[in-house]
Amino acid sequence: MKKIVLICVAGMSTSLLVSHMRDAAKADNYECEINAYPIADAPSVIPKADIVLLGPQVKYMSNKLKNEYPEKIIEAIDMRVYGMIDGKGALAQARRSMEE
Amino acid sequence: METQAKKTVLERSTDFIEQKIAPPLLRLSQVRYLEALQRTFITLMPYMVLGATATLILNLSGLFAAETGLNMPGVAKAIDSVITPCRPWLVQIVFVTINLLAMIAAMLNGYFLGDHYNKKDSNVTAIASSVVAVIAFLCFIDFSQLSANFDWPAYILGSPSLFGGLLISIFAVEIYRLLIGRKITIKMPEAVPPMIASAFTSMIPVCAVIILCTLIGQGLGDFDFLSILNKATAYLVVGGSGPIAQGIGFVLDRVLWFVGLHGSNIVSSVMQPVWTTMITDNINAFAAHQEIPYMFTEQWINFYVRCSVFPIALLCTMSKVKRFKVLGKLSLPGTIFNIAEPVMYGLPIVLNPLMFVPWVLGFAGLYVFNVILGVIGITPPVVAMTVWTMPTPLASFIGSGFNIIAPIITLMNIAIIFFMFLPFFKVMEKQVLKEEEQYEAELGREK
Repeated sequence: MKKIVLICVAGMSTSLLVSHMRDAAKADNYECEINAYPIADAPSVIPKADIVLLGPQVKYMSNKLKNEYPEKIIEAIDMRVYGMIDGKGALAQARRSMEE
Repeated sequence: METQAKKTVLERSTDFIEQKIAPPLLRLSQVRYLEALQRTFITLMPYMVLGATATLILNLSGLFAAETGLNMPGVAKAIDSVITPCRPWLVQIVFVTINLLAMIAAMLNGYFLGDHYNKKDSNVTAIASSVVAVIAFLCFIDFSQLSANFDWPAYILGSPSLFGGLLISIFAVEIYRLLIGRKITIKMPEAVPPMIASAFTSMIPVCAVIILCTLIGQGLGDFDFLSILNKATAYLVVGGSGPIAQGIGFVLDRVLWFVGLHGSNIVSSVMQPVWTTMITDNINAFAAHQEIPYMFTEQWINFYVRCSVFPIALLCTMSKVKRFKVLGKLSLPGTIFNIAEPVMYGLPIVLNPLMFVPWVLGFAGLYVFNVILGVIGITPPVVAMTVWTMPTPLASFIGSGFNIIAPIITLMNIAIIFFMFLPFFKVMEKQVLKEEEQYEAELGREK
């Protein structure tokens, strides 16, 4: 089962998106585990993740995290998708990136 | 061949912010010491909120006292009768949180710095760094005086020594990891099991750090290193606490948010030690019934000026544009609890030239207006901390020590924000409606 990890500063605004992503996953019958974490938890959650999605407000962390975890897929969520709390769009982005 | 499209003013200014302003700030916030500091304060936060709340409850009756407060001695007496039995518990909570702030900060800072070095040198561990940092800090404390001066709120292990504690913890961990890195350690013969050998590795580095810190902290006669350090940092806090320094920080915060980066988080990584000292000094002064030293605290910005993007979400819910209406419904509950991202990216405010005016210039104006309110003494200073998701009128009410003027000012500012964005929102709405009409007209033609 794929593990999708979302990260923002306090894990609050990403948690809004997480519930919408879970709904989208359920509707698609796509089995996965989606969770949101604050940036402080990054070192403990990233090693277990299949993909790490960053809130656009912390996309400045992506280079640093990519250096620290070169084998992981780490990317920022599209701004519009994030703003409209578009769970379907965010899940689609995650699946697309994992398939590549 | 097509000529490259000329860059608009917005694109050029965005490029400027993304390439010139943001990178040095980001690099600064990723300096290992500031990164460790950030993690330290994130970990400290719940304890500080708890300690501040306990202080607030302890002083609740003072608000209704005859001379200093609302002149309702009956209420004050009633509150006192409830609080007095709980007093020992509340005082204990203040002691173990706010009064040990510097010690716990030194410990955490040592831990996170050690965690950073652990990635480069596995012989340096976070927990060993944490212990050496906190003990190095305690080397500077005169224990023969400690119990005699167990007074609150100027306690030496609390906020007066915050900067000193952080600096000493950095000093200790640096020496510790340098000695380990240079292999200035006790080497065991090959036959000794690694578990036992590693226990001896830190012997020399730890001794070196602790002896050195003891000599500096206690060995110099009347020269009290920590209190000199504390005095020096007090100047630093005063320098960083004025409305101009805070204003620069706040405008940077807005500008960074405008390009879609978490401005508050980036700015706070630099300002946090100053901010924490300011609010704890306020909490302590409040507890001791002294004059409150700082008006322009981080909480003052958050509770009075920044407020939340609630008014913008409200504008969205009233919009004729369907997309805005949906966004408004989605984001309104979050904005009450200060979650701004959906509005920032959904409307969007980020990189939206129209919104630059109210978001950066408007908020800068609101800041200046509130500085004036603060300087002439209308705004009650913040003397307590709350969790950041607390709705701002409530936060300012609690934060000011239950002063009814505080939420009035916050609500007024929220109304100002509403009218600040209203004209620009209407222009944007018109543009979008026009686009939608055109789009529908085109659809109609295709049919």
